[in-house]
Amino acid sequence: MNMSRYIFLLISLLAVVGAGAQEKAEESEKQPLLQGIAVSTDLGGLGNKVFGGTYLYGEVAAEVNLLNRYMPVIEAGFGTSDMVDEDKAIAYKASAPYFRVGMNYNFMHKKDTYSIIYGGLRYGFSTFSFDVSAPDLQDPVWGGTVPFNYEGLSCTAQWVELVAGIRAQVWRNLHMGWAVRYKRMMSLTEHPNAEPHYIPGFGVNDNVKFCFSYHIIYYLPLNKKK
Amino acid sequence: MNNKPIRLMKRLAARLALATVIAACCWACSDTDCTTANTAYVNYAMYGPDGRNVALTGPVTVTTAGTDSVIINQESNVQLMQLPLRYTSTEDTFVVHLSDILFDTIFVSHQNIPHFISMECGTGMYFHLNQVRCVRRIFDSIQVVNPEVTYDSNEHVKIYLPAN
Repeated sequence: MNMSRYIFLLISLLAVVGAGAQEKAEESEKQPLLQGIAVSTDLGGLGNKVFGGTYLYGEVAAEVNLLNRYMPVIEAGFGTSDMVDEDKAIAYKASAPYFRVGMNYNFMHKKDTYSIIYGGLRYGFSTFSFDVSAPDLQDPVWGGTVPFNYEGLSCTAQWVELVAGIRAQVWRNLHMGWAVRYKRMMSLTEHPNAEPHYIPGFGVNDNVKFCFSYHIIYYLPLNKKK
Repeated sequence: MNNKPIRLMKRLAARLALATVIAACCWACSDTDCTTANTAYVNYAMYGPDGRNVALTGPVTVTTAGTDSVIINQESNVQLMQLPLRYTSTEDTFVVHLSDILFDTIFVSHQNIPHFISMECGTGMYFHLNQVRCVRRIFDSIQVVNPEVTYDSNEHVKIYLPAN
């Protein structure tokens, strides 16, 4: 019920934004709809691992610039976590692709530049399986132990993200930028024996998360003003 | 001289610094809540025939059948009993003594569910209650109201006492 509400809200917002784009397109006949295309990669996953994080991900995105205002985007990545908590001797492993689809809104659309401040929405999902093993469980009252080792627990996660970010030109068509992401889990497959620790594309399991990403972007303007 | 690249870099540096501060603040707000105890207990609450909470006034002792383990020892005014379940068995039997000759026996059939909570909180044993019954020497009836036994403090079983 909640999930369908989220999806409805997301689709409604995108529809409203899309309708706005159509109106604007009609208003300004001189301005072509397609202003440019961009491909980017998120280096945050690499940075996370380098600075001692427990997971690694790689991500690419493709975006089209409509009227320099609306920017539909598709993001695809691969996340992996293979970690051992040495204090508790718990090992966790998960690797899987993930996908996001959504749209950015350029708050600096009046300026003919791709150095922008933007906000956006995403719908993300990932289907993955994970392994978890831990020391035997010890019965504290009567004694006795039960082994703890589960492999191939399959899961599907769906979430929404609010994104705010900036981009700036570095050299010619090359840009870079940061984005802050507020992520909210919509649905996650439940297992009686384990909850996933790491969810590809979402991060460490929690109802709500904040994180940030660092992007290198190649932007190809198709209608640059002279 | 063209200062445009310098202006752009300054603007870029300011924006990146602002974004980093925001991200750091957001990260600092995220914290892991790990308040679970080590053992999941089944909570048995006492009720009178009218459905109101009552207490066993006499000293109550609870032992496990087949062993000499004493779970509750001579406690008075017992409204709620917290009893553990065996990790390596799916049947447990508890004997509730009000005196040497006045006692009842509770039989619990359960599933044991080893559970990974999180990397921070570790693992634990959860249970699912299949069936609970008693001999009815002291108690009038017994009923499972919440079969999922985790680290919460929910009431899992209601024990009804007779009118007298």
